[in-house]
Parts: sequence; structure tokens; C-alpha cells
Amino acid sequence: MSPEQAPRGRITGLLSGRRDILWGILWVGGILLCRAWIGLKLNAPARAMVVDASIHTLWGALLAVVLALLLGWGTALLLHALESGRRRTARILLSFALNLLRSVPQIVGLLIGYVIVTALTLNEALASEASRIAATSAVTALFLFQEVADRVTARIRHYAATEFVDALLVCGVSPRVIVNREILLKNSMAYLVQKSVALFGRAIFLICSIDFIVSVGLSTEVSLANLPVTLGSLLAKLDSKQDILAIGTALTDASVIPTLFVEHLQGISVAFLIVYTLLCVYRIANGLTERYRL
Amino acid sequence: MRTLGAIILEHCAAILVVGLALVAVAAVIREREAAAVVRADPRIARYLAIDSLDWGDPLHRALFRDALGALRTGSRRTIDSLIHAVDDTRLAEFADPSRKVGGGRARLDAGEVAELIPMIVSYLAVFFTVIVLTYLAARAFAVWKFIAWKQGRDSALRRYLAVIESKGPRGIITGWEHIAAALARGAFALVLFAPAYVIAYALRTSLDTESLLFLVPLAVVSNGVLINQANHLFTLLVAESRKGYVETAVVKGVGASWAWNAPGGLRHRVVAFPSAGARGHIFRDIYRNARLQYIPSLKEHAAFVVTGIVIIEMALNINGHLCYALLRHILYREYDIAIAIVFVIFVSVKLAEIMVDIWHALEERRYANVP
Repeated sequence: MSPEQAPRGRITGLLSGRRDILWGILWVGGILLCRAWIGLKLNAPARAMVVDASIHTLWGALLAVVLALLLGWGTALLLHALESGRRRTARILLSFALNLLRSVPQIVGLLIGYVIVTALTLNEALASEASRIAATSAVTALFLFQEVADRVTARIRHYAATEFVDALLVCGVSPRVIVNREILLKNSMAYLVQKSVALFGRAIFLICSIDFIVSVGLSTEVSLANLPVTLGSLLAKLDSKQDILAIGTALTDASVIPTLFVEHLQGISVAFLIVYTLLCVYRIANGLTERYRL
Repeated sequence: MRTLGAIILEHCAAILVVGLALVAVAAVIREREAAAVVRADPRIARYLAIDSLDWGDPLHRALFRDALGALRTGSRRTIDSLIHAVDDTRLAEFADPSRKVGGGRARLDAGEVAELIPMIVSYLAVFFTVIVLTYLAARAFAVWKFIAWKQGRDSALRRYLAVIESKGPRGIITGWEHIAAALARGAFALVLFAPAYVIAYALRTSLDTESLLFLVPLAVVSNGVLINQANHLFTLLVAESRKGYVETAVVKGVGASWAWNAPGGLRHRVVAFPSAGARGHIFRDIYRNARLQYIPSLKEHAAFVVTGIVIIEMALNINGHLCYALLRHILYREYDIAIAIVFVIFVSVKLAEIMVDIWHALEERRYANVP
């Protein structure tokens, strides 16, 4: 043990190699603490807005991850089927299309997607709040699923190079079952869970960023009343922006610091929820990588 | 394995396909816009074109009705239906969305292109500067983290918990320096993960957030760009250090001490110059092999760097910058200019990808066992 390595006790030993759990606990604890604080200090309408925005953001990100998983899994299976079926031209075309989509910066793709969602909202094709969240999540998933497809393809290729697949084929297991059940469900779950957690963080970042930009001014016709409020759009509101600006004042005038957590609570709590969630989700994903040596 | 020529050809084909697709989209949008413009019936248009006639004035309307009646151009009923048709046309023109945002929309003409060129040059300079700076910073960060990991250094939080475990409740106070270090690191991590607009708005009262001197470092540090790149390289370094050749090299006497400035150990300059600063040390080989695998991932990072720049310019409404111009043109429905800007952004990412592929091919050739 090096001099800078602390001796392992009960708590540190328990958390050793399980940093994902530690950061999961810290995330939930931090969110609950923030919720309790805004429950005490923030006025009821603003509090309701922060809670709604958090729920919409988390649901939107979760839905985007689920859709990305389905899309990525399906795409990887299609690529594998084309590869094993020796349909070279179709495989090259699909790979070309995927690479092309990969080169589109996510935020630009999302912006184009939001223009379409905006048009659908104006045409009343997306009447309910849930349908608008689903539409924006679908757009987000479209720019996330490639990472899932890459991960699934890598896992299939890894096992295809071993005797594992041949042995199962000899046992009479069908190739479809080998790929879906034996390789992906039984032997790649840790990889997929880790990827899902990482994508959850990416989805929150993208949703908040695009909503912030849209709220700053993408459309003169679609206002926040039309699109469900998220942490990004709430942060773009004038009063939240003033709260964030107060942080800059606090850097030069220390007497402002105590007021940040009382008078500027709306913006500060929203910014905290975004940044803290991104940090914790990243740490959880890293913890999973460490624990399962992915 | 595909050759470099084939890879570059694929990139060029992608640029061509996207270019053609965007031209087609622009043409469709133009056609739809032209079709959507409300065109008055020529029979009604000639009445609407009378300058001296104010259709909103009841007196003018009554005079128009009487004049038509006097000229016996039709029955009273026909005149009423004509006035209704005029009203409907005026209402349709008023409600026409294309007329709502100021009418005269900019088109992609020579004037607009001339206006865009300085913005494109500035955008490309920022984009490639951010990519290079991010690569250097992420490399230094990853190397420092990897060496700390090899030294078996615990995190400040873990050291604090260990103090509490060994000293009991007294450790809560005596381990203050560890918790202070943990909080400082936590605050630094929050900055690294913060979306650019949060940092920019927080510093807006103290700094000129619209200058390039602020924009470039912000794009490097924020949005998780730096931390994600650094972590990716760190993971590759860890995976590489677990390979068999490392143990073999150490047994054969290659330097493998991870202590700073110890005999056979590493100097601090290795953080800035990982290859040149670790001559005679096993880290040099670990780093070079990890870098070879890391280089292709820079393509994905290039697209993410663009995402960061777009977010900063759009969120801060920095006038005179390409990404803000994109937002403005979408807002004013000047889609052909917006499409041209999207194409420029796509080509910039592709250029970065081509450069990365060339670099990777050159690096691979250095290590290939070709006689």
C-alpha cells in the first residue's frame, strides 16, 4: 500500500470498487436535499415549476435512452444480419448512412428536429404535453442510438471471434437466440447498462441545452406555454437568468453569497440540478466501468 | 482493412450526398413557400390595387358599393359577394405566415455569402483551435490521472472517510484538509460538467463573454468535453497497462517506477509531453499504444466540440458569429441561408474527420510490421 493510499475500513471497504453505488446515493441525496430546501425557501408557483421541469427533463431523458436502446439494438442486429447474409452492398449503404448521421453535430440535428416538432405543434398534430415530450425524446434518441449500435456490434463481433458461438451452434441453438439471449442479454448486460447510464447523462445535457436555446428564441410562435417546461427552458427564463448572473456578483462581492440560496433560489436550484445530475451520472457510469472492468 | 484512399473517398461521398440532399430540401422549401403565398384572384386584385380606396373605412366601402351599383356591373347580391371576396382575400393576406415576420426575407445571394465568409473563417479558426487545445488538455489530464492511479493515490473523499474510520467522530474535525480538498475538487468537477451557458451567464457581469478569448477556453472546459475526452484516454491507458507486454518489459529492466522524480521514475514534464518526457520508462510504450486507439475517437469528439460551440454562440446570442447567424436565420425562416450554414458546419466536421483519419493512418504505418 502506498503512503497516499488510505487503509480500508468498513465504509471505505464497502465502497471500494462500488463507486457507482456511492455516486447513486450521493445523487439521490443531493436531489432530495435540494427538494427539501426549495420546499422551505422557494415560493409555491416557482417550486411547482422547478418540480415539473425536473420531472419532464428526467422522463424525457429516460424515454430518449429507451428509444435509443431499441433503435441501436435493432440497427446492430440489422448490420449483423446483412454481414452474415453476405449482402455487402446493403451493409455498405447502411454503414455509410450511419457514418453520415454520426458526422451531424447532435445539437444541429436536434435543432432541425425541433423545427419539425415546432411545425407539428403549430399544426396541432402534437396536442398533448406527453406527445410533445415523446416527440422531442424521439428526436434526441435519433442522435444517441449510434453509440448503442456500436456497443452491441462490438459485443457481437467479440463473441463471434471466440469458440463460444460455434459451441452453441453445435448444441443446436439458433443464431438469433445466440445473438439476442446468449451474447447480449446474458453476457453484455453490464455493458448495456453502463452505456444506458452514460446516454442518460448525454440526453439530459442535450435536452436542457436545446430547450435553453429554443427558449432564448427559436420561434416567434411557439412559446414556453406550448412546449413542456424543462430545466433548460426554465433556466432561460429572465428571473432564472438574473439568479445565475448573481453568481458573478458573488465572485466579487462575498456579501451576496448568502442571498444566492434564498433570494436567487429558482435559478440556482435549476442550475444545480442540471450540473449535479450530469456530474453524478458521469461518475455512476465510470463506477460501473471500474466495477465490471468494461 | 480499408485503405486511406477509400476512407477519404467515403468522406467526400458523404459531403456530396449531404450537399445534394440539402439543395433538394432548400428547393422543396422554396417551392412550398412560393405556393403558400396568398395570391389574390385577378378580378379582386384590381380592386385591391386602387390606392385611394381604404377598405377599412366604412365610407369608402359604401362609396365603392354605390359606384358599382351606378355602373350597373351586377346585381346587389353580386356586389355583396364581391365585397365579401375582397374581405376574405384581405384576411388571408393578413393571416399569411410568410408576411408575419417582416416580409422581405434574405436569400442566399452574393451579398449574403460575402457576409457569411468572415463568420465562416472565424468559426473554423475557433473550431480547430478548440479541438487542438482540448486534445492537449485532455491528454495532460488523462496522463496525470493515470500516474496518480498507478501511484495508488486515493481520492480525497476516501481519505476523509478513512480518517473518520480510524479516529472515530474526532476524525470529522481532524480530517478537515481532506474534506476541503474533496470540496475543491467537487467544485472543479462541477465547472467541468456545467453546460457552457451556466458558466457564461454566471461570469457575464465580470467578464466580456462575447470575446473569442472567453469563448475558446469556455468551449474547451465546459459541456463535459474535456472530462469525457480525458476519461476516454485514461480508460485506454489503464487497459493498455494491463497487457502482458508491460510485465515482460518490466522484467527485462525497463523503467517502471511511478514515483515522481525517483531514480528510474517519471519527471513532471511527462504530463505535458507524455512521449518525449518518458524516455526509458514503460509509460512511453503504454501511452503510444493507447494513443493509437484513442486517435479515431477524436472524430466523435470533433462533432461534440461543434455541439459545444453551437450551444455557446446560440445561448449567448453572440452577434456576428456563424452559429448565432444560423439561429437567427431559422428564426426568420430564411431556410436557404440556414441550410447553407448547416452544410458549412457539416463540412467542417468532415474536414476534422479526414485529418484524424490521415493522422491515424500515418501513426499506424509507423507501428506496422511492414518490411
